[in-house]
Amino acid sequence: MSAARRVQQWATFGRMWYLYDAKWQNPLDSADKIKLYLSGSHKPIYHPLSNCGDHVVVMNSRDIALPGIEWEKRVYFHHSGYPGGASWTLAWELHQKDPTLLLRKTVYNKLDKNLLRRGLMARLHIFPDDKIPDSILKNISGQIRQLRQVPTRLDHIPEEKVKSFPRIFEWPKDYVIQ
Amino acid sequence: MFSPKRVRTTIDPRDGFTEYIEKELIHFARENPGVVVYVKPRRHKSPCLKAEYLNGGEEYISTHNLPCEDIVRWMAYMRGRSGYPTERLRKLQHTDHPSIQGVWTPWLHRDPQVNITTYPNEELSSAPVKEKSATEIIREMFEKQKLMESETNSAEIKDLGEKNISKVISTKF
Repeated sequence: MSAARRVQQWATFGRMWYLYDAKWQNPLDSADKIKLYLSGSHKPIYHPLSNCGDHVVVMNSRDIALPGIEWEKRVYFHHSGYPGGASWTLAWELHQKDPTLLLRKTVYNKLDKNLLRRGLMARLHIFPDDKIPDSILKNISGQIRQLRQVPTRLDHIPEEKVKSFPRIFEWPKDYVIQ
Repeated sequence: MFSPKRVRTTIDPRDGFTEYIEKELIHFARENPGVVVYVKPRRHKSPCLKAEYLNGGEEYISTHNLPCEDIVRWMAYMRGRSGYPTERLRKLQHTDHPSIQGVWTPWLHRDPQVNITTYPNEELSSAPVKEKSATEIIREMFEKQKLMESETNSAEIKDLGEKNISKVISTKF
């Protein structure tokens, strides 16, 4: 390969590091998006065997939002391999034990069930909060957009804006609010 | 190209290769001046045809027990070949310029601002806004109403079409 072709190869197959903020996001929908970046499907040069996947760094995995009553109803099965080693753990219990596990298992289950899966999972880095080690922060070269809008808390909105909001109706004078 | 001859004490007239050398080889050499023909005797080995091509390719054909006509055909086959090895072609096309517009890189069609952003970045991370929230709609209606009131200089109840809300009192919430 000539020098120019070699440089072109490095440029085309350059591995990117993407950051994703999982705050207030549905882990199932997030995993759908993350798996595209891990496998390299977002690239026009994609081929399953051409090792063109990127790294994805997920932060704030402690603040993910499962829909509806899934925190109480979703169950994760694990068998230790020994007799009587079957265990069913609820989502909220699992999240308490390890706040990164839920998202990791979701992405693992969403990826294609082939031998490439383990390699792709090795390129996924999940952090429970926004404390990311410097060595990884330095590598990051892009950010993945969130899927759900994060609402602003009332005490985070500036006071004048809150006060200037119009009153829509007024309670009657004889109405007693308890 | 060279082809060996079997050396024997008694020449078997049925041997195809000796017949070829006696009858056909010289005609072949005369008809193909671009082909170099060697004849090399090898003892205790069966006869063969070995071809070496100008592009470095080689071909070996054993002529053990082959009649003369078959050897003629094999020689014609080797004469007509290029030196490239007989293998499956991965692609039936080739080009020295596979890309006209330039090969894709991950930094193509990306805002150059990404080179100077520090991550995490709020703007790049926030989800796209699809619908107006109820808060925004009410605010806009209030602003519109204020404008209309200031235009007509009256405090009458305005009809806002399908979004029919009555007087909005602008006091402290």
